[in-house]
Amino acid sequence: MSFSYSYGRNPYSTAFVWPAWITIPNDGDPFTSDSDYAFSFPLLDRNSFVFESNFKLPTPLSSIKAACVDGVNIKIHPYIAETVLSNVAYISQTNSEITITVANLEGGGSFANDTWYYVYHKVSAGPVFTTVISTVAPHVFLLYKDNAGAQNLTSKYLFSFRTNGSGMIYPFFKSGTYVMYLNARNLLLNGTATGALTSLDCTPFLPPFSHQLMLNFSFRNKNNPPPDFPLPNTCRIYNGLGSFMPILECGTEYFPGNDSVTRTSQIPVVVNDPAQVIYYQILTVTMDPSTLTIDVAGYYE
Amino acid sequence: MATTYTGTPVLNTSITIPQDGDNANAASVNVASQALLDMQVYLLRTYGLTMQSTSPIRVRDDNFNVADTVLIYPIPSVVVDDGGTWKAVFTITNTTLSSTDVEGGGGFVANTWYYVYAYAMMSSCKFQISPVKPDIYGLYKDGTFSHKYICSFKTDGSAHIIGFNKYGNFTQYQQNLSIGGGNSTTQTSLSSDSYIPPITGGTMSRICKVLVQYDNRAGSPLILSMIPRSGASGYPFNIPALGVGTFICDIPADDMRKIYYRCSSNLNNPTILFTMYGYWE
Repeated sequence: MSFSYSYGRNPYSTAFVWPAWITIPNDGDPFTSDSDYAFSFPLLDRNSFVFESNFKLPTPLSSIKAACVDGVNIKIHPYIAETVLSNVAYISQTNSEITITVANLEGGGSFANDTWYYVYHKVSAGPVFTTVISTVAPHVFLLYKDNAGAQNLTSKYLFSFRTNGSGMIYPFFKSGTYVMYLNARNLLLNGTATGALTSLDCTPFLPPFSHQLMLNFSFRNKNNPPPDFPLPNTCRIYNGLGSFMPILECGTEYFPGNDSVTRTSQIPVVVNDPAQVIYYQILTVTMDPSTLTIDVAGYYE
Repeated sequence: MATTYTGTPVLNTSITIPQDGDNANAASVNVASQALLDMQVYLLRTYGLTMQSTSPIRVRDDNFNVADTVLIYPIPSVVVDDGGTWKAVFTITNTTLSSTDVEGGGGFVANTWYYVYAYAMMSSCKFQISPVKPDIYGLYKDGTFSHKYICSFKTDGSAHIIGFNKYGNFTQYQQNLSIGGGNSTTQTSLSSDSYIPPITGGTMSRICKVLVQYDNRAGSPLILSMIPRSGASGYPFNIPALGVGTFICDIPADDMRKIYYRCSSNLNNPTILFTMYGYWE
């Protein structure tokens, strides 16, 4: 009569080990509990070992790193990825730095202008492992390529990038989930809007599934003659929630004889969802308009 | 006759197995084997679906209490190979390391990067400080699976540990670490490479965080460009006339772990100082 064997080991109470071997029966051995348990018990223990270890691991220190500095070539630091093809799972890795270009674009051709692209580690029959570029965004988990709402486990998501108006890659540097552009990309140049909040479209600066930008900004007051110059203008930057939450407010001291700039900084700002907008507002109290310039330094995926 | 079985993802903590005297047939043998394969399929899928852990690795210098010591907060699990047997080991109390934990002995050497690894000894978790860098993935000590990478730190010119606090992937320095200063109107490199650890293999560097202090009380407005790579335009920051202030800038370092700056003007000699604030793994 069969009975049940339960896994009862706990890595917090005893040594939790995975020897490199198991004991298996030989031909001619009697079919007894000794011959069967010898391998089925350790196999169950191993399964539990993997399961428990997986969920007790601290945050890994190893992250995906990639960089493009010339608008053409993307270097990818060695990485490890899991893919599944026809119910067979593969753990594969690149052992040295690789470079991908438009030649890795699925379907061939060239990059379109002003388009987001996504890079995947893909397994094909063989198995053959390649690094490919696709216009198909990752599944909502950001783990694998999307397949009509399901995960396409053949293609492990690595990172994304954007092309400019000439089909060139905006140079970037990715480390983990943090992506920084090599050169700040202008979101607002000398904005002067006053009165109601003015929205700023951030969709060209972060992927459709991302919500947080790293912004550089500077607020400049004009040199106003007396009697206005002692009165500071005020500028407000709001996150995607609009007037509900001004994340930054800056006024300026007066500097007779100078164009004055107040508050220059780099701050993370959350965009709205799904509109991917932020807002700004300048409250004019002097004769000449103040200006606000915002650049995007990077984003969190 | 043998046949193939394709697992379906299920995980249980028990299996049903035959007893002595049972018939050695498919009904008695396969039930356990199939269950084990089902679990393995489940586990592999689980690995692919694992999200970021809620448990960051936390390490800091403990110089405030005892000079030149490192404090490692409890770590829930590290998986290491101990002489051919894989073990999951952990710590439940803080661990303090010092120069006596340096691989090979001999204490700390000045101006040297050190790396902390966890390993198994008699099924308990131990730590080692080593000058050997981790592998290209940043997972284990290079060339081993026995020593799990935990953190890195550096010594100063007097062989003292430079104060730091590591929380997950970000290390923030606890000392004022100048990487240069000036007001050059041509691209000028900063000594960021002194405080960003090297990466094994490849040419990638890291994103770092820099504190910028300016004193432009006598000058005119200028634009300070923080530049990640030689020749790039980088990130512009406006420095006000008559102004004194600070800001923090995230910036990727180049292949040589260098960052650069350039001023649009240096009229009346403004003072600008750069301090390394921290870096991401």
